[in-house]
Amino acid sequence: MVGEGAREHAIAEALAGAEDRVYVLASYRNPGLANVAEHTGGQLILGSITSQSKVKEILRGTNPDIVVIGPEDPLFSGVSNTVKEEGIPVIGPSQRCAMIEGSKVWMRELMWKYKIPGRLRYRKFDSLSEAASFVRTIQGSIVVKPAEQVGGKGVKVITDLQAYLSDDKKTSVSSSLEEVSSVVKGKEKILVEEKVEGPEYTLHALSDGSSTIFLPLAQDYKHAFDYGVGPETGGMGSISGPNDGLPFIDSSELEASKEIVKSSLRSVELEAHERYVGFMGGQMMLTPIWGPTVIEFYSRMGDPETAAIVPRVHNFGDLLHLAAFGSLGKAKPEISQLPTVVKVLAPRGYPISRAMSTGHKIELDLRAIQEIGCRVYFGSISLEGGQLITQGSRTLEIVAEGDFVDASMRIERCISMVKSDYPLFHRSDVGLTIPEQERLATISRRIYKFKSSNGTLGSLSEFIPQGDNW
Amino acid sequence: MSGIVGFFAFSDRWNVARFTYYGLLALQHRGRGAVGISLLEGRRFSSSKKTGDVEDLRTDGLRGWASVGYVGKSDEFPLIIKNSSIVIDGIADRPSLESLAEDPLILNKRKFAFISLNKEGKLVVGRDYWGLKPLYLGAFGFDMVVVSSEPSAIWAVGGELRREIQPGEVLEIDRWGLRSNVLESRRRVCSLEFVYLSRLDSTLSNASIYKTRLKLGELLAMEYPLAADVVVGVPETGVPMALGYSRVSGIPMELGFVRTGSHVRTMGLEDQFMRLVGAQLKLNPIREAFDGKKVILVDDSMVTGNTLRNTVQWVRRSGATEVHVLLGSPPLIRGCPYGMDVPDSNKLITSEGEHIERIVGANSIHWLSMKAMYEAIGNSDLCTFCMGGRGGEEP
Ligand SMILES: Nc1ncnc2c1ncn2[C@@H]1O[C@H](COP(=O)(O)OP(=O)(O)OP(=O)(O)O)[C@@H](O)[C@H]1O
Repeated sequence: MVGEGAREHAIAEALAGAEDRVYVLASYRNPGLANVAEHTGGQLILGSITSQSKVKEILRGTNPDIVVIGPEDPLFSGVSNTVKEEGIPVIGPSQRCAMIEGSKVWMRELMWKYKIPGRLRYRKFDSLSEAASFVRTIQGSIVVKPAEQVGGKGVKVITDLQAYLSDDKKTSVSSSLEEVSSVVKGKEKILVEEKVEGPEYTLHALSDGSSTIFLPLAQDYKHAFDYGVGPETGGMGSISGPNDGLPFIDSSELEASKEIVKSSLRSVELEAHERYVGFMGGQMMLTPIWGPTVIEFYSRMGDPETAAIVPRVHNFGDLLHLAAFGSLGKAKPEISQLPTVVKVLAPRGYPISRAMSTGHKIELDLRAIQEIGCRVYFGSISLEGGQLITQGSRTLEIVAEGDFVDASMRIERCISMVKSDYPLFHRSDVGLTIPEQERLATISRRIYKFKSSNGTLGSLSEFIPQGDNW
Repeated sequence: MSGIVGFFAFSDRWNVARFTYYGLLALQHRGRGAVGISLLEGRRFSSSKKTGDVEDLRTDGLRGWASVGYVGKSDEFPLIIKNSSIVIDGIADRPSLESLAEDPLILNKRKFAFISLNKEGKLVVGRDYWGLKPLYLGAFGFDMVVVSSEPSAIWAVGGELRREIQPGEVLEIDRWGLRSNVLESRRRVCSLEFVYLSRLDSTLSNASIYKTRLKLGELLAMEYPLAADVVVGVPETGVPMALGYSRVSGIPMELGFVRTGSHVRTMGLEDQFMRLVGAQLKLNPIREAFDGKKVILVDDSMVTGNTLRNTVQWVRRSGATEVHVLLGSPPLIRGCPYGMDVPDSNKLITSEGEHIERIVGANSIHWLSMKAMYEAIGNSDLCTFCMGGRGGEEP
């Protein structure tokens, strides 16, 4: 297992459930992963997860049957290629295939080239000043993003339906382009795309290079604070289920979403001239303009979606083995009927100030939490000298299975068992927002079905005075 | 009566001056006369105040990433006390505002909702003990929190409504999060918010204002099935009530008035003369709706009766043969101790006893019963003090 967060902890437990011995490469001592490694007779090895030489060294030392890569950074830096060169089956796409996530521009270009439904109008910019002048002149609501995946930061969603505030909004955004693009390495710096709305959901596919299976839907809670306010985060909670869906997505929408993810995955293979082996997550939105629409793709599993999904797929570990050996064709995920809810705990300061949220001690009564029937996945937290120390990002993910409201309440009880002399925060509304999501879905559904019936799916519905200058 | 807003951006890049201005524009129906905003930049407030309408407020040159704004009768807000700039809706004396600046979590039976911004960059938002004054939380993308007396201001800037703030709740907002403190409270929502003050697209205490006003009209038709040719609502609030009356009675509804001039809220104007001018500026009758007809005129409530008196005269001069006035709420008989503009008993037309019809010049006047108003709002936690009912203090 390459990676060190809560997502990797969840996957590692599933591997342990498949009777694997788990070795982990991690840059800090995640107590959850350390525990899985120890119990299975493996080992947690500290080192950079993006270092090819470190990876090679460990592969030669442990000689694993399969390698699973959790996060995107090792994929972007070619760890999957390295593992493959060593002759070991690997879950996690090659560097080139991972472009689908690494470059948001590449992703949008691909969707247009292959005419995949659910594609948004966009413009890409190498120059910040050109981006700024485009932002100032484009009419209507837009989203401004760094052109690359930079880990849940820098996205500006600008609803601009009121002509009278247009200047203020667009001036603020154009003045923050430098900030938005500060971590972008490539030539293309900024992506501007049309803003859409509707409930969001994530659909993960697992591909072995020829067959594809789908994991149950999940929804991620993006805003930092309760009731959907505050800055963008990597995700402060998630829900999944019941069965393979979510209450506000109907079965034809689920099927259409599968089609979108599957054809995107095959298009990636055509473009990259390589087989795609690993996860691909479609972060989707049910929009009035298209119905199922792609916001972005993951080349790995989403976090915290993983914590909601993995406990619901009983043969998850086995599926990874089948995928690694190209035998997914015969496989079927065994999905539990009950939903799950995940709440994330983060230290005060996250997501704006890493300095503030790093280096705090926490304590928790794991046994008591398990007695309430919840699981804990350890995230950005390290075991140092017998103490649990926060690493600056999302600390813990607590999962409960059951009806949404009940599961959400049970997690609250668990959270009261996590102690720290530094303030931790979480969203109490995870799992409690279904009615609102259903309402949004109904509105989107009425409009996209109408558009579909009159052949205008995908086209703008609003009148734009100066014309559509996408 | 007033409207208050607060904006809080998660990055200094934003200038919320114009957002605040447009937010206040969308709250002007709650009260008029004065307007003011305060913006925080660095550790300094810059403020602008004006007697007059929101449109008169200058925002050029103002800058800040967080703000508070006020529109209403008083020219003292935003009030800067110590480190905080404060706006309120309701009644507050100086000591309670000072204690608020000191510690917003101090338990007391506050008769006002407030938004307070301090120089450290913290926005504190609180609803009054009873929830008499409405207050809502919204978001603008990942970038801002918006709080406002009504959802209208959140929508006006392109934001999304998240939820109603609860009676007694105090929300503390800073860059690192939102903390909700639920202090002691006793829910008593102001019935006049439903009857006339809140905007038609608001939802208060789980009740849609629009549906409530329709229902008030429907229940008027059940209680007073009058014989008439047309039913006409006095804009704005009387219109959905007239629609409700028409649906139940089968009497056709007509649009009887054109709005003219600026939106002068006559109930909020102190001066007698201004009220009369305000009423005339506001409405002009459409002769064809009234000529030769027996008219039912529906309005929300009657305070001094002056406005209605004029309206009835306009209707008569437009050719109505009879004018029957129906009011979508029980009679107002005493002043409001919580800051609604209901004057003391002796200024209320209800103090005239039997003479009301004569003064107003109507063939008949009827008020909706208390019971029916409760039924229409569908909420038993109401303050009906001005109607002679239960106030905040009674159990
Ligand atoms: N075109 C769009 N229209 C509306 N909202 C959008 C759009 N694009 C992005 N968003 C919002 O911004 C969030 C983050 O966008 P996106 O997933 O592209 O960024 P990211 O930083 O890569 O996030 P992640 O942490 O999921 O990798 C989305 O979950 C969605 O809420």
